[in-house]
This record gives sequence, C-alpha cells and structure tokens, in this order.
Amino acid sequence: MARAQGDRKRGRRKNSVASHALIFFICICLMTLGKADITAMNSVRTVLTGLVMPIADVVSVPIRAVTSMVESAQAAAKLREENLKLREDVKRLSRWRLQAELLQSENRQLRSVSGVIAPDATMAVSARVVAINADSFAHVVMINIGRDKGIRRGHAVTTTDGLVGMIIDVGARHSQVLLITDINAMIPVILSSSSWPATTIGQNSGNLKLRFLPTEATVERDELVQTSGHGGVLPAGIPVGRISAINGDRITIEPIVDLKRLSFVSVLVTQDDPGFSTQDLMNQAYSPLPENQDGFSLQGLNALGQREDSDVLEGDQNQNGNAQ
Amino acid sequence: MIFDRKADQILFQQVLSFAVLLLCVFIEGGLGLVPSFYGSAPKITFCILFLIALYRPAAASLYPVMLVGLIFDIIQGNPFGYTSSLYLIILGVVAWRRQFLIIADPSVVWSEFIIMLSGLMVYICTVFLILQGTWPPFAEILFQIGFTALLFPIFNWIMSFTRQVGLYFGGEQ
Repeated sequence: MARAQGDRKRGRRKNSVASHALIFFICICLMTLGKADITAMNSVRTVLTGLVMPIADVVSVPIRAVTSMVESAQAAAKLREENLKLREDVKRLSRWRLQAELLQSENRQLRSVSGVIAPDATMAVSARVVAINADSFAHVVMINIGRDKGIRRGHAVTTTDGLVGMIIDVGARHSQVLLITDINAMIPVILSSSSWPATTIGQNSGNLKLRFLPTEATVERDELVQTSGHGGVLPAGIPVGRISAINGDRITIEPIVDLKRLSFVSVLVTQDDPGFSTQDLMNQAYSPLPENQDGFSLQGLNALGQREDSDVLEGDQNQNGNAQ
Repeated sequence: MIFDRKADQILFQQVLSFAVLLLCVFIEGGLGLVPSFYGSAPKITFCILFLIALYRPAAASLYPVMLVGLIFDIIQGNPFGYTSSLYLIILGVVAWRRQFLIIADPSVVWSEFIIMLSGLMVYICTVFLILQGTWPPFAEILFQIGFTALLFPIFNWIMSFTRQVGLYFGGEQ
C-alpha cells in the first residue's frame, strides 16, 4: 500500500518536471520566433498589446499621480534656488533668441538662393505615454494613439526638446515607440557645428554611442547632435542629444529629451510622403532673388562667409541660359 | 451535486494567486514611469512568485504563471516568453529547495533568494547576449536585482502576516 503511494507520488513528480520542462521549452521557442521577426507573430503581438493597453493605462494613472506629487514636493523645496537659476537662464536665452532671429533670417534667404524646397507635410499628433519600459531588455514605450490617428511604422516621435524615438508597432488605438536609447535604435545624425555625418546607437542605458564618424572629424563636448534625414525615415534637423564624453574613439551622447520623465509626446505624422519634386527644383534652383526682398541679403556670400559680388548668381543664370 | 472542498480550495488559491501576480505585473510595469526606476524597476513579481511557490505550491500553477509572464512581455516590449522563462526558473528552484526552505529561518530564505537572483542575472545576461548580440547594461541589471533583493524581506513579512491573519480566521496551515 505504502509502496503504491510512493510510486504514485514519484510518477506525479516526474509528470510535473516534464510539463515544467515542456513549458520552458515553449518559452524558448517563443523567444526564438520573436527574434525571427515573423509577420504572423508580430500581428498576434499587436492584437494582444491592444487588449492589454487599457489596463496598463488605468494602472499608470495612480503611479503617475504619486510620482508627480513627490516631484512637486521636491520642486517646492528647491524653489528659491531654481528661481535664481531661471533668472540667469532668461538672460542667456534672450541673447540666444536674438541670435536665432538672425539665423532664421539668414536661413530663409539662403533657401531662396539655393532653391531648396523644405517638405512641410508633417503634422504633430499628441499622445500620452501609457507604459515606459521597466526592464533593461528593451527600451520601448507604449502610447495611446494608433492607426485611428494616421500613425504608421517609422514615424518620428518627439517632444518640444527633441527626438524621443520612432514608431515600431501600430495597433488600432495604441503604438509602440522604440526609444533612441534602445540597443536596436540607430539614428543617422550630423554634428550641428561641423555637419559631419555619423550614427547614434542606443546602449539600453541612459546614454547613446556615436559611431561611424569620419576620422578627420573634430568633436567637442556639449556639441549638439541632430538628425541628418539620411535614409529618409526620420526628418532632418531634430535635436537628438549633446556630446557628454569623449574617450578616444568612444564618444558618448546624452539624449536631449529627459526620457525618464516622458508623459506626453508628439508623433510627426507624414501624409503621403511628398518627396522632392525635381521639376520644382529645376524651376527654382536658378531663379534670382525677388527684387523687392528687403532686409539683409546673403546674395554673394561664399561658404566661408566672405562677401563676393553677385557672380554666383550671374554664373547660375548663364548656366540656365546655356541649358535652354 | 458533489463538491470537492479541497479541489475548490486549490482552484480558489490558483485564481487568487493569478490575480495577485497580474496586479504585480501591472504595478511593476507602472513603476517604469517613476524616473528613478527607468529601465530598472524592481522585480516585485519575483518576490511574490517565490513566496507563493514556497508557502502555497498548489496555487503556483505553471500555465497561469506563464500567461502572466507573457502579459508582462506584451506591456514591456520584451521578447515573447522571456519573462515566462524567468518565472518558470523561479518555480523550478523553489520546487527543488522547498523541503529545506519551508522550515528554514527567514534570513536563510532571504539568502537563498539572493543566490537564486544571482543565477537569474546570469541567465538574463546570457539571453540578452544571444538575442541582442551584445553585452547587457550591467549597472541597470545590478540595480534592478539588488533592489529586488532588498525588497524581499518586506514581502516575506507581508506574506507571513497575511498567513497569520488567515490562520486566526480559521484558515489552514
């Protein structure tokens, strides 16, 4: 009797170990299939995310409320110190504003000289962040808008400060955003002061690494890095981060957006990709500046900023004439 | 109609533990919103699952645990099955060491939990290396695992407190 009971117990334990091993094997298979990026698997995942998202949204509300309460209390304690810092910032920013206005004017006139057509078909759609990664495996966040707002894979996600990431998965009413800090995120960028091209690569930590920078390029600390628009996925000119450390070839970038405090983001929704019309380029590339253009004109400035008479424009007009 | 009281109790425990684990998963996912825990929120589910598997082994059924892991992977964008595999390792370790741990001192249980976490850390790093092709961010993982280890005694105390309350109101040991 006792022996039979012992046999039964041993048998049950054996079954339990077998089912344990089987389920573990299924998990490993699921991981492998996920890595293989099979479309059916991605579709299943998208549907399941759509089902789970409302619950995650509800749970995030009290956690966010508590976090914001704690941060408010901390901010109140530092009010005086912050006020002094802000005053200094206002002074510094007013100087920058002046400079920005000058640069804006210069930029507008340079564009009219070179005939570049800036694609302006993006529309910013605001979204609330529902879940931020709590694990170091993937740096992904979930937002509460999806196909219903015209979101598609590859759209850039930003805040007023700069680039947050790009859309990698879209459901009916949710999307997943791959943050720039994720190990799979590679962003083509340029250095703002010298325009050297490079690529940022996430580290699944707070910072990014700058790679594929030409050897002759010089880099400075605190230099702004912005998207280059190469590859045609992300628009050009979105700030990505600032260079925080240079150790030989190892250049570290600190994201310009505080990714730890994401609450709302903007998705840059492109309508049907307008592309660049070569016809317009041909028509506008050699057109002279409007005669009634008032204000400071950059006509005749070369790449080094030295003033030259309107020989460039005349040359262009001659070329245009020859072409005709 | 015949009711099997024991089977009903086990079913109730399984449903309850599933609900508790699900709640933990959503809270753990929500902790990512706290700036200090960005990318490295403490794994409170590890603590809860370890304790459930230790004190209520019948409640820690394999399939619900796997489902909870998959839900966490969906919320977090982790590879499907990754968290489930971690949970299954915890269940396996506890099942293997249960005879010893059930009568052990809380400090011994804590130290065993820490040893198990160290093993899990090696597993996490290995999976990361295989799937991503690079070394994982050790600092973040270490912070996450360390914080989880620090939280364990609190959860252990809560668990023993609820057990005492249950016993007082006529529950079973």
